[in-house]
Amino acid sequence: MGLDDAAIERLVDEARSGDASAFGHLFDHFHLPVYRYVACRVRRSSDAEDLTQSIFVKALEALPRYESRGIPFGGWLFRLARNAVIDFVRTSHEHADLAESAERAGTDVAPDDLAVTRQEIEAVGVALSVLTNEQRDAIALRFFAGLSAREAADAMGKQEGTVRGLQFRAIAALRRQLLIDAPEAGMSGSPESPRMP
Amino acid sequence: MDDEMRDPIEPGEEELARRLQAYADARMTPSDEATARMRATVETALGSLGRAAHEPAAATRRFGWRRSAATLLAGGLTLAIVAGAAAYSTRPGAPFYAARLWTEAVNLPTAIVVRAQAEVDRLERRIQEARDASDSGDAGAADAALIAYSTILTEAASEVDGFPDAMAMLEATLTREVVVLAFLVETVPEPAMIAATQALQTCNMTLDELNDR
Repeated sequence: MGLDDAAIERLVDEARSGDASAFGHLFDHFHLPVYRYVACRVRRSSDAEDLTQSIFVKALEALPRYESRGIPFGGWLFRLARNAVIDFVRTSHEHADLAESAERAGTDVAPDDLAVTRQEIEAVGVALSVLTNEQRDAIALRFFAGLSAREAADAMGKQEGTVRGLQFRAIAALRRQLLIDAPEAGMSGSPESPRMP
Repeated sequence: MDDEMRDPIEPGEEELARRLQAYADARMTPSDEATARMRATVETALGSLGRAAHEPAAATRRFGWRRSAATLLAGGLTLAIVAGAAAYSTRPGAPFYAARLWTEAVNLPTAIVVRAQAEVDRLERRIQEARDASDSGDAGAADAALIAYSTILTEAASEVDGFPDAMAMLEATLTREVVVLAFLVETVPEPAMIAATQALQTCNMTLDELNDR
């Protein structure tokens, strides 16, 4: 992603000091993970776009109060994102139906940008739709948005171990849905696995 | 984002990782046009702060405003509001209403309970603005005040999470305001009805969440 934690914190400090170019760099760094997290929870790409930009505007407005929260900027930003998505889903009476999304979203995708078959892509959408909201949040934050377990835990307001457990169960459910064989014994992660990030 | 998280998928899960990545690339990646639109919106938010601070280069220098200018804006707007000189231009729906809201936000105290009280004060101001606007038939002002109410409430609810005193203060306020909002939904000029309904929904949901915590 091009920026390490120290660089991000430096940009945050500069942005909080009024350096708007620093906030621009933060947008460039985080907009794709935020968009992907949002897109995992809402139906329409237009809604994902609207929500993503509103999240960054909210972050800009709230940045003066970011100090002394004791939460990494990524966790703080995704907490804003998660709250925004929750509000959106509730107020619009929308429930992320990714199976429906998978069917509809085909119109947004150029045919040649899929390295795997369309059927396989749609199967992932269906598999994601059967996860619980919290499992989907864990996958969206950890895999699609690329957060650490700690950042995902901060964003979800949960313990890190809880997020690892949600992720573990989500991966198992996805594997079952997609008919992917389990890894060999000793390769499969568990919430306690030392290899599980 | 630390290094240990970069690959949340275990060894042996490469096939699942490949499919998730393909899904993300195909269905969860904004187009270049969408990215440009999002960035433009953020730049506009930054630029509006810069222009309000009367920074000469703000219109042409993207992401160019400085904290000193923003501080001047906050101070200037605060003085103007106190003096009443800018009352018209900062009323709900007026051009500087957003800047006024921003000024309120950047001047919020940091101590959580004190900040919660300040947020409660802001919510009550928005309610009063919405009532005044509704009484005078000013749909635009009512709409702006109610939209601001929902935004402030969402932020306040997030801020008080985990602080029982602050949560109780917010809950007590919302318990009063939900009645006013229900009245506004019935009486506000029609163009502001959606904003009133959303404010009421946000209030009800926040109360539910506070009760659940």
